[in-house]
Formats: sequence, structure tokens, C-alpha cells
Amino acid sequence: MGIAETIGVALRNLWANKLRTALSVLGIVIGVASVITMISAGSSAQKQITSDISALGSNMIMVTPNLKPGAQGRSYQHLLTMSLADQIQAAAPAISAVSPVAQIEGRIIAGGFSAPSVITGITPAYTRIVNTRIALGRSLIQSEVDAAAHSIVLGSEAASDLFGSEDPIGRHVALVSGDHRAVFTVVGVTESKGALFWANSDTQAFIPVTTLLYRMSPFKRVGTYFCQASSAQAAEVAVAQVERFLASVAGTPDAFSVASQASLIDAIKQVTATMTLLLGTIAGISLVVGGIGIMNTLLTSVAERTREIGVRKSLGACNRDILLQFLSEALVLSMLGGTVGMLLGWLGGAGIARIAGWPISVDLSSVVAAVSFSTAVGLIFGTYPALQASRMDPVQALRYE
Amino acid sequence: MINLENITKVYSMGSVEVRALDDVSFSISDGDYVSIMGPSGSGKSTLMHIVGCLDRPSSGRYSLQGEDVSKLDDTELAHVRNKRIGFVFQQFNLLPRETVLGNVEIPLMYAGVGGKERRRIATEALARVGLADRMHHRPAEISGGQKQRVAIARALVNSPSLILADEPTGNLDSRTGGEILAILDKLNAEGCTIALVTHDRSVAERARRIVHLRDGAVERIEELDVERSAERGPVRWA
Repeated sequence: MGIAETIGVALRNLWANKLRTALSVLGIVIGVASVITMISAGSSAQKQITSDISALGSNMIMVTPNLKPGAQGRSYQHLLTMSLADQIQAAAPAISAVSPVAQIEGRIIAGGFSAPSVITGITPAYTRIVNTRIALGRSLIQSEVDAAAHSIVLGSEAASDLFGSEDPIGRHVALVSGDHRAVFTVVGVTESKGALFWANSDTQAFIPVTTLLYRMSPFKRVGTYFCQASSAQAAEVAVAQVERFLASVAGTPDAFSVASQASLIDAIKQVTATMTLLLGTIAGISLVVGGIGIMNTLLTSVAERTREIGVRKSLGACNRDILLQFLSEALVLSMLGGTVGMLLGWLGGAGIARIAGWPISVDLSSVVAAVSFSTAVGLIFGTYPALQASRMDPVQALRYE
Repeated sequence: MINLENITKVYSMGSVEVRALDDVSFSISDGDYVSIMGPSGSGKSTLMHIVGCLDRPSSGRYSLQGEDVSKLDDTELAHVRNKRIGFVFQQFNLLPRETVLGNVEIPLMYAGVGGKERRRIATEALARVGLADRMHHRPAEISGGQKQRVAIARALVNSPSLILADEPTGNLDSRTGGEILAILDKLNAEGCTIALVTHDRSVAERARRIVHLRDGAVERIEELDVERSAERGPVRWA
């Protein structure tokens, strides 16, 4: 019997049991749809995270101190002096800018209003490295850093919390952190950037790093150096140069972590790829459950049609004809489920991305994978019932009531 | 020419061996009309399954037009059933989801005959049993007698060496049963070889010879008066 006829018989049989067919197709639909949804949501999330990291700054390299081994939680932070920042710039030609950064937790108080805030001590280079834009007033300037001036740039949200719609430029605010307290003059307000990962720069306040170290903090060391590579291509070289220089300063290569934005992106990509694989695998389990549904449907169908199998065999169907007939039913079920599931998965992935505000990303390879996987599921779970049908003894099958 | 020599069929049910057929020999020549008769338990069904190539004998030789078919494998037996045997069952055994035409086309499908040719042959066979006007009905929409005529048409399409009818009138009233027997008579008159399995003497008498089975063995072979065939009367379509 030809392929077209076999498929024709399969379609007629499936059509005759519409509800059962629909239910077993539904199993595959859910499986395929969830695989594609998960994978495309994962890839959307990855795109979003990647673009978030890119938004953190341009060609950024972060230098953070590591813990000292065996020093009871003390780190190499004591080496992070203000002057070391200048030395890094001098020692690493691929670095175009360095900003020492220190942060403390505190409150900003102005005219009876008070807002909790992270206070970040910076140099003018910082604004450039992390792409901060100024909405009102100006950013901090080098002379303010040199003089440890009491000038402050407020994050957009901090500014509106404290001053509402009033113009905050030129107004005074008090910063409180622990026992330290000082009054600052507002010189600028940043443009809103939104929350990125752990930090929301909109609620922060920026003061000269020198002022922070000398007036607001018990520690006279900065926490991090934000560096900028001269170009994306130079990032790798820059990291190597900074690492080499810091190793010579500390006497050990393990004193600092030097991470470029690109390496951060790579690391995050690996994490999201692993998450996507995990989610896809969990979704894949539902596809296997769908396969079991197909198997169940086919086994029922084989039992019900025992007599038909006997009749077909008496009329000249050989085992292979019967095998192919049931196998093609399994394939029609799973491919139908695969196609419908693919469309739903597309919608699901796009829906999740839309709700989460991620870029919509449907991977063609995930679609190909899900559909071929569902076809494979049909084959695998259809084979046993089909074999059972094909091996029936015609005499027994004809006697079956 | 169909030839059975010393056919034995033994079923083992656990430790007990049941001898369903014991040394059965007879032959059916081309164009013959033979009835196989016997009470229930006489081995009629087993013999029919072996003659119909649905089952293999435990021992003995069954040759169908010179070819020994008693040792063939499943696939080869399927081909023999497809090309050389036409089954007519008591239960009609039409597939309910196929149309009348679709049912008749099934053996042709398994023979690999293409769609157009298949339709032509099936239509012709249906015309032969007087059902040309019921081609597109489903089995549930036609009467018992019509179903059996569809089954006969289906048995005919591959021009088999033997039409094997198992109690073909068993589920029909006597008038409709008579019509079915009349069709078999007509087909025999046209040259078809027919073996008819029945427990009903009046049905068995339509044949030229009756093979009487008892306890799995041939009790006797009764040659019927050839004149009887003249009494069958003309074939009428209902």
C-alpha cells in the first residue's frame, strides 16, 4: 500500500475519533508550545540582559579588590588609593579613563523630606564611563574633586522625591551616613536610566569621591575603579595591562578582579543559556508526557480495531502495512501537535517578552528542534502500539468481538 | 487445483495437546464448488483458516495451484491471501468507516493497484453483485444482504483462485440467504472455485461435493447429484 493511501486511512481513522484525537494532540501541543515558549523567553531575557549590561557603560572595566586569604575577611581594599587610579591610567595605555568609586548607604534630607539613598563618590570620568546624562544643571567637575567640594548631583528619582516639581539646582541638602553628616549644594540632576540589576542610579546621589572619603566615610579607601578601555577591541588588552600592573603593585595576581563588560556579558550569556536549557528540559518533559498520551491513544485504538486488523490481514495486508498504518497515525498526531504547538509557543514566547518588556526573540532553531523532537516522540511512542498491531495473529484478530 | 495432503493441526493448551485437524486430505479442482460441513468442534474453522492461509498446518502439505503454501512466512501468506483467496465471512466484516466502494478497494490497495484502476475494478465487481448504486454508502446504511454482497465483491476484485465463504448466510434471513447463495452459484457458473463452510445441510447442498468433518478428520466426501444444480433456478437480484 502506498504512502498517500496509508496516510489517507490514518486521517480517516483519526477523524472518526475527533475528541480522542484532539486530546492526544493537545498533549503534544502543550509540550511543544512550552518548549518553544521557554526557549524564546530565555533568549528574549538574554537579549534584554545583554542590552542592560551594555547600558551600564561603554567599554567598561571594573577593578574590585579580592579577599585576602587567611586575613579574616579583610581584603586588598587598602591598596585602592586615589593615587593608584592615576597610576593605572599611566601604566595601561589601552585605558582611556579611570574613576575611583566609593559608595556608602545614607539618607538625603531636604526641607523636611528625607530619602534613603546610596551615595556614590565619583570623579568626572565616571559620568563618561557609565553613560550618565545630566537632565538639569551640570555634572561634577575636576576642581570639585580636587577641593573635596560639597557639591552633589542627584539621581532623577531622588530629586523628585525631595523637591517634587521644584527646581533643585542651587538648593542645599544634608547627607547623613552613620555618624557623618554634611551639607551639600545641588549642582545637577541626572536623566532617568532605570534600574539595572542591583543598582538604581535614579535613587542615588553623586558627590566627589574625595568628599565622600574625607567627610562621609570612616574608610579612606575607594571600593572600585571604573575604567574605560579606549575601544571595544582594546578591552581585552586593557584588562591584561591593568591586571599586570596591579599584580606588580600588590605582589600577587590574586589581589584584584579585573572584569570587562564583555566578559560580564559572556558570563551572563552562559548563565541564561543554562537557565534556558533547564527550562527547555522541564518543558521537554511535558512533551514526553504528550508522547505517552499518543501511545495511550494508539493502544486504545489498536485494541478497538483488533477485528479491523484481522479483516485487513485476511484481505492481504502484511505486517508492514499494518505497522505503517498505525505509525502514520502516530506521526500525524505528533506533527499536528507539533505545528499547532509551534504557533502557540510563538505566541507564548512573544507574550512573555511583551509582559516582561524584553525584546521578542523566537529562535528558528528552537522551532526546528521542537517540531523534530515532537515527530521523534510520535515515532518512539507510536512504534510499540504499531508493532503490537502488526504482530496480531489474523485468526485471533478475526474472532475478536 | 487445491490440494490438501495429510493436514494436521495441533494446538497445545498448556500441557494438553488438542488435535484440531487429524490427517485431513482432499482436493478442490478449478471451477469446483465444495462445501465443508460438520458439527461445531469438528475442525471446520481450523480447516477454513488453513485453506484461507490465515494459519499454517502443524504438518502436512497444502498446495495452492501447485505451490506449497504450508511453509510460507507471514508476509508471503499475506500475499497469498491477497491474490489467491477471497474471503466471505458470516459477520460480513466490512470496515464501518470506509464506503462500500472503499471496502471493495481494500484488497486492490494491498495489491498495489493504482487509484483509477482500483476504482474501475471495484466498481465492476460491485456491478457484478448488483450494487452499483450503493457505492458511496457506508456499511451501516445498507441491509445485511447488501453487506454480504459487498463482501463478495471485495472477495472477487483480485480474481482469486478460491472464494472461501464461512457461513455466508449465517446472519441472514432465509430469503436474503438464498440470494447470496444464488450469487455464489452464478459466480461458480462463471468459473469461480468456491469452498463454503457451513453446518447447514441445505446450504451445503448448493455445492457439487460435501466434505464431512467429524472430530478433526474427514468422515466422508459426498458427491452430490449433478442434476440438483438445475433445480437452483435462475439468479435474481433483490
